[in-house]
Amino acid sequence: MKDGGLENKNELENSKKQSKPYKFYRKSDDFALAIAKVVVAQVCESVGFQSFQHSALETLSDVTARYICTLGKTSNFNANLAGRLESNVFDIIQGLEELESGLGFVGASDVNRCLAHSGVVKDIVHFVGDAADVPFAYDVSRFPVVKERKGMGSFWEKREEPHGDIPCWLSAFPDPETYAAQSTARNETMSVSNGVKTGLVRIERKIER
Amino acid sequence: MNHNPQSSDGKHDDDSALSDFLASLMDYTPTIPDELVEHYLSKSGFQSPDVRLIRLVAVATQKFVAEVASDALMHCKARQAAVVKDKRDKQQKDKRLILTMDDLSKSLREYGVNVKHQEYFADSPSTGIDPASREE
Repeated sequence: MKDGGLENKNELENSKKQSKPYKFYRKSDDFALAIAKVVVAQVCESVGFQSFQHSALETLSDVTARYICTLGKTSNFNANLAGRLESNVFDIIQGLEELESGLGFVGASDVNRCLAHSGVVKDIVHFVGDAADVPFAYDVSRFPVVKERKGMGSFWEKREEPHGDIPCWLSAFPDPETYAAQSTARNETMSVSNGVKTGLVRIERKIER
Repeated sequence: MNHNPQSSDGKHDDDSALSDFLASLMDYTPTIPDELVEHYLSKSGFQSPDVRLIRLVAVATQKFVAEVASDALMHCKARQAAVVKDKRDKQQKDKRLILTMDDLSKSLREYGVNVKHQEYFADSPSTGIDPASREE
């Protein structure tokens, strides 16, 4: 007889382990998402809301971040399509038109429309004219902070002569003082690692029996 | 030689209007900080040395969020007005406007974003199933 309850329990555990891949979420993005939440809360307050559900705020801030990413991706794609590395204002306007195409904008049906006087830009101009100037509540410094890495220095920079056919622009070898003291320690560690290896071999033989 | 002097003047006006607008963006401070926009744009591969473009993206995003929020506010007020019609003695109570997942999902659906919120959470797959149909 099959135990239906146990099968269901296993399926439930398996489904818990195979969680849906949430590709967009990264642990390193927590700071940016926190700022986005504050932004969305401020915008909602300016619109007229007095409170919010946490899940609603998180959802809307997530959608905001995705909107910016989608706009950047589309603008970059348009720039690359035109043979450029750097995007310009027309790439962004094209990206905005793509995003607004679901709802529609003034002049969307015009095939020969010019991007310079696109309906999307006019809507943004009206918005900027009507909206109140609400600055962000906190001071945000540039992030993520890029750590400055000090390189080893090439042979040429260290004014050393590389022996053999080593080109001078490669990194120089480390100073002998940095590794000479480790040679005696290395002999000790090698004997310890040998002991660990024989121990592992013994355990493997026991399992085989 | 100007074949179409009017159209070229018109185009020049449009270009100058666009460049004037971009210049005016530097005077307007959007709610979304430039650093946040730069972070997400650089993540998506966007490259540009022009700060005005960052402002344009910030303003466009703020407009999007404001539109979604105002649509959600409309749904919220419509729901409260429907409740008030039925129970007039409680109209003093439900004055607070709260952004809920219901209103947000209705508003986002118009913008092509499908947000489905769980009605409830169950602790096992057989919750809610008729006990007669469960295998013993």
